[in-house]
Amino acid sequence: MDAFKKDFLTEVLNIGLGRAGTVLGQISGAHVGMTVPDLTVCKAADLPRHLSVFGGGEVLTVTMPFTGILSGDAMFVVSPFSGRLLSQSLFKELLKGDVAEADLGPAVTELGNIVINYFVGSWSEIFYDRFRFGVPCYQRDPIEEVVAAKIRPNSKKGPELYAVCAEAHLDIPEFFAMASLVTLFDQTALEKLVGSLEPAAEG
Amino acid sequence: MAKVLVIDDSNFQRKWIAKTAQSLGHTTVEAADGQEGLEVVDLEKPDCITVDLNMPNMDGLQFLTNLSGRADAPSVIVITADVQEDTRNQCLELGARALVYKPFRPSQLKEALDQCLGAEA
Repeated sequence: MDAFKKDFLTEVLNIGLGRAGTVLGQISGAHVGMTVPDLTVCKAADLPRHLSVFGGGEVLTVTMPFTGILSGDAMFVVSPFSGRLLSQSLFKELLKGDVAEADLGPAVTELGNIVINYFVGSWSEIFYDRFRFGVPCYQRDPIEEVVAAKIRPNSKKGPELYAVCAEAHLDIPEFFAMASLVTLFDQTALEKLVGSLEPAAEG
Repeated sequence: MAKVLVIDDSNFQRKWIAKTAQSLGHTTVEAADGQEGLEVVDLEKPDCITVDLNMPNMDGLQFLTNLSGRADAPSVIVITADVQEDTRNQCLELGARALVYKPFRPSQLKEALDQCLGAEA
């Protein structure tokens, strides 16, 4: 990927992260401090290395397939602490006090559904195409196991899976809550993504 | 006071929407997908419906399509996280009366309910 396309892709992700950050701010009721996305393109198997900020422990992930001019999976990654905090903010009247484990998954699933819709949905304005989403899938595991579960279906029939990873950091005054957004494409889709960048950049 | 059918595959989102509608003085019934929603429409005869778009079995767009063929269909509010303009246009073309985007404030749902129930009166 040349510098121009990488720069444009960074901007596409920046716009998506901005929308995602805005909605996370609405949910948390806090001003969101956003960092410029750190864009990484890597083989999906190498993704855990790029998400080492989560410290190697369990993470909560919500993965949603999307189809359109680009097709792939979008993954919302959050620590259990941040997931609880944001879920309580989203469903404040329903999740008072400690969030029971049985409630955390469904609550974070809906949280991830909302954030991913804002993240990927913003691209429709850039690529002039509408995206359709599959049903969100929640998983609580170390990131290595989450990625392995995604790669396994692809490994036999497949084109290699790549991860386009962008991290967003949400700062809440009293706490530090952090979320990451990752998009996963197979090799064909990644080449299509790169090929689509030039016409989209020219508007 | 009206009877509102809440259709969403997320249990949390159903409870949240129902609780908000109840706080506005309405009664609620629930369904977890579009197929179940159609059954509940026949059974409960709601005055207004809120429906999510992305659901298993029957999604919100299919639900709108199925409902639009009925002469006595109640007004439908689409409550969704899908903020794309084409999605909005399609929902309106299929007969949705209003769209509310997740996450929503209670005042936004109130406005949409007032719009739909006012139209039913």
